[in-house]
Amino acid sequence: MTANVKNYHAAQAGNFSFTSTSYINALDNAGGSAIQRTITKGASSDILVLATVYGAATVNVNPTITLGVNDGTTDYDLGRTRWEGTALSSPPGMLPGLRLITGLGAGTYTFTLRIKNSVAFAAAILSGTFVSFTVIEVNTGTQINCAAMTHLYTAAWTTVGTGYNTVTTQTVAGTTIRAALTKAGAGTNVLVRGFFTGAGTGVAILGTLGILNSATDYDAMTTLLRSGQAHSPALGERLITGLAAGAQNFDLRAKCTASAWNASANIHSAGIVALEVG
Amino acid sequence: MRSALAQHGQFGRTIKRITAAPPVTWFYTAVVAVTDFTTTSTSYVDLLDAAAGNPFTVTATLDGTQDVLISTGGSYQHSASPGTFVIGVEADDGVGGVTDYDITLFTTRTNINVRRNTEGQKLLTGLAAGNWTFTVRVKVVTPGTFTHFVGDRTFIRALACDL
Repeated sequence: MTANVKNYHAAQAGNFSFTSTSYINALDNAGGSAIQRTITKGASSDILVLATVYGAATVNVNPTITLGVNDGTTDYDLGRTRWEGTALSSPPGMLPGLRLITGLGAGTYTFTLRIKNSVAFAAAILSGTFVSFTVIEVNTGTQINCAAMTHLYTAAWTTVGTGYNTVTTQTVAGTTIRAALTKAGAGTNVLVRGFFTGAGTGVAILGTLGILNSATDYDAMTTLLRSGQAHSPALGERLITGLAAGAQNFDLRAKCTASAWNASANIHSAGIVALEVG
Repeated sequence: MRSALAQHGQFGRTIKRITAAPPVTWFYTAVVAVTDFTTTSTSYVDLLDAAAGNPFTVTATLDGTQDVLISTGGSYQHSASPGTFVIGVEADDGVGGVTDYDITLFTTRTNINVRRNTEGQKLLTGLAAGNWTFTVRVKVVTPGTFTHFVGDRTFIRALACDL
């Protein structure tokens, strides 16, 4: 018997262009099919959604794009970033996202990938890029303890310096982007996946995504945080071993390679998920 | 035995449950490049952590009933010239069952020579029982020179579990 995992993975058969500023189905082609997966879940379990798509604006604007998922009734945000216009010869930007969906009763659900634009200029999930869309039943009581948090920003998150800073929901008095997991086993491990999308201002600078557990920072991924037009995503995973059973917090962290990533740094979305695995 | 805790996040609760039985999920992840690695190959080659170094691999013993959710990605850049590259994963059971799977695309363009992230997830099904090795691969789709810089990360994860 295999895990209750449903996955869509395919290259886009053509550009899927969209201008809607409210959620619409993401299609696998212009006029194509919705990107969907159907899963049957138990009464007390939760659903973890992971996704990545790649795209750009089709004119010289820099729209903010939001990726979402619909469970048949409700739209849930997964992640947000800013794509670059094709007039700037930009390569397609990655838009990652994750979400732990709770409170769904037992039954069969069809999850549909959704997307929306911030402006009335077309952006597109680009032909030939790969769309990954995964739905996993977690927290079944016997399988895959999971905790997660996703945040889309309405104001800039700020950090300064070359040392790790904890990513919060806002600069002052924000809530930590945290996966608070109660680890059941002493001999198990924890897979942590985190992401943020953002940019430096005034200077492009290398940034590092990290994961903090207790007093230890784990580097997870590097990226170049460009200034101006597009937002750069950072997405990484780490397997963290040797942790005791009980409450374990995993906090999203960020740092840059010089102190110039300053008050104008702007993160559009961030998320973290922790999975207890064998 | 089960208990539950809740955390209130931006989008409402995230739930964690304590389970009496440990999960049977199997998982592994990897690693950091130690020198730059560059390729112009148009057929799949192993992505190495150094010019003549080690591939990024995970291994798993499967019982023939499991699917494996592969995730791989990392941070890359073009060096001499821009182009398009595919990051893939080779699944090898050691007895002749070798298959390359495309996982994600990475594209650079002339005036955007920056380090960028890419990632993809693919569920591999129908894998026979045995000892499997999954290896990160790369191939050039349109001409270009692709570099994985020292200190940058590539990760690969294989997640298999029984409910």
